[in-house]
Amino acid sequence: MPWPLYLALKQLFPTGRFFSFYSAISIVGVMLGVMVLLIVQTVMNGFGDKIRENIVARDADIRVMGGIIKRDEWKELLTELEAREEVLAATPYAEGVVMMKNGQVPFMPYLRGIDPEREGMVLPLEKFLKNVEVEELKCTLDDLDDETIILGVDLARNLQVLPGDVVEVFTPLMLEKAKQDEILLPREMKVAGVFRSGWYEVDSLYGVVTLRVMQELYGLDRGIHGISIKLLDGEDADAVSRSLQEDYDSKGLPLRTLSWLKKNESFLFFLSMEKWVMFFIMIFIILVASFSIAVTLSVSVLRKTREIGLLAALGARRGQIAQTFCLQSIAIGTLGVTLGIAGALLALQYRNAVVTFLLGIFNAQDAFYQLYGFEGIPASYSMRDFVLVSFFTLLLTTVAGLLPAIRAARLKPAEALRSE
Amino acid sequence: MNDTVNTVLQAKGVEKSFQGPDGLTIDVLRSADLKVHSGESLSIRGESGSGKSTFLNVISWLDQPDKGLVFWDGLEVPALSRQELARRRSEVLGFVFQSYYLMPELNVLENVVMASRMIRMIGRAEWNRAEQLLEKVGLQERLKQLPSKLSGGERQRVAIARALMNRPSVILADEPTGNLDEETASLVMELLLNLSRKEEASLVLVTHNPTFAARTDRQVMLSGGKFEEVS
Repeated sequence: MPWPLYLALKQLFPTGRFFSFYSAISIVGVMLGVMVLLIVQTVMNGFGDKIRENIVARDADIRVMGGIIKRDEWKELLTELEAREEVLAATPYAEGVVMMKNGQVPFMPYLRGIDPEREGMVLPLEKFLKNVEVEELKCTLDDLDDETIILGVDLARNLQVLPGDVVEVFTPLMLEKAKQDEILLPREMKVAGVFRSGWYEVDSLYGVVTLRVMQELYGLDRGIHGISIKLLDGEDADAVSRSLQEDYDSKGLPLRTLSWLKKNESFLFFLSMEKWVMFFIMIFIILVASFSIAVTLSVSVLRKTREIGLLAALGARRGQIAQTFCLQSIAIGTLGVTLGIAGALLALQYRNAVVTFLLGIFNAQDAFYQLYGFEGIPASYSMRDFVLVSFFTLLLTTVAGLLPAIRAARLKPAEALRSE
Repeated sequence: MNDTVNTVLQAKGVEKSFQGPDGLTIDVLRSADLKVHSGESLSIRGESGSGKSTFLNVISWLDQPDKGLVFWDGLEVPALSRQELARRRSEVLGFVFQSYYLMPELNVLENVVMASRMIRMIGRAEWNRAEQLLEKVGLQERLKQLPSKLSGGERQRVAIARALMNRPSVILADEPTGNLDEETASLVMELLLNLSRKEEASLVLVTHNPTFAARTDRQVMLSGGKFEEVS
């Protein structure tokens, strides 16, 4: 082993002792910084992934829209889409705002007309139906027919309706009829049950009917508003969306494709920015730890001035003396990063137990999980984050060691030996 | 005596001055000449501040002279590259300081081996050599002890073993007994003189003590920046 490395390790872990107090403080500082940074990043990734999953579950991977797509056209489009190798499934939909009333309580939710046979292949509506906790409110897609409606759990609550109750539905088409002095007769729909997506804006603003009902309500004849597409795992929704758009443009079809990524671009950008801002803030912890390494090593250079003179007398070159101190900071950084990663993995492994314990103290478990709509604290391990955090930490700790190392190398041997 | 073969250390016309606190220049060494022959022991005496330690620093090239030449084993030191200088220093010179300067994080054996570690990858031969030297200085029972557990005399004996580790041509000892009581100082001095003789290393001893100086083969006095032989 080259002697600068040997001496650096000996100064960190002296003979007869497990470690020196000063090196332990520095290593723990780096370890805590890395640990906190990785935990925050991994949990933020988890939250991001969960939110993305929910967005995809709500929106499908890609939507093909085009005002009103006539029956002949969409049947052909659907067949073409299903034949594409990137597409797992596709389903037609019609969607629009309606006014819904129960007695004197009016609301303006969206109504989505679906093909009950196909919808489950693209969107997890069955799962949303099972999410409902109260047995009396539950239903299945089999309960959906041309006379029934399934409401979001919060919409049903706002309308104060239960399964079996009837709601009145008014559509913009009725306004047209009103202009022609026709009598406005709302469509009466029996509530089959409710669904729960976990997203308030969906659960409070959406109702589901059959495609045929929606076509009648909106006067679409047999037309639709669009097609929802589910892609195979690993397919790039943006790329497929662009490819479809180019296809339609080249054929002169007045269709527009929209991927879930594009639709939620601003929100996803915000999510990603939030993660990077957290990274930026957390990196200061490592900066503080690196500063403590610089201070520790500077004090060490002061304390060991005469030893530095001795090293020169024993045949050390300036560069080797600098290496001794620089290698100490690298060793502190490496150990801090290793222990930090181990600590972060351990903490993340038991994150739910820890959070449940902490929330238990304040009796806030239920409120916490309901607020976020997740079953536990999500975590998504990203190799890139681990590499990035390790690289930055090693860089900062090495730089922290450079200053005292250069100072040690610049000491004149004779003066160092004379120092008190 | 054939100078070229037998001179292991030589200072030729060495000058060194320092800036005093009042801004005035203090000439410590003025055209100082000294030759140390192979196997001989030489003591340097002089008043405090006469430049004895400065001379040791200059002749070991830990400090550079303002003027003059220094030779180690016939090699002109200023002509050596930095790398060669560092390597030669550890091969030609062994140091014993007044304050021992042992590394506190290394045990006794590791401190002695450190001298070899600086110039080569060490193996069993180096560990054996260090153990033998520590046996010669009477510390065979304390190989694994840290310096902090040793007395002043024991620390200086470790320093002597370390100085001899690389079989140097010359041992430079700067007031090696300055921190020791009279009895211990006498024992350490005896050890230093005997071992350097046995190991065939020349000894340059800086001391205030005329008794110790008298035990060396040759004595010089540093006065007015120059050496004078003491008969």
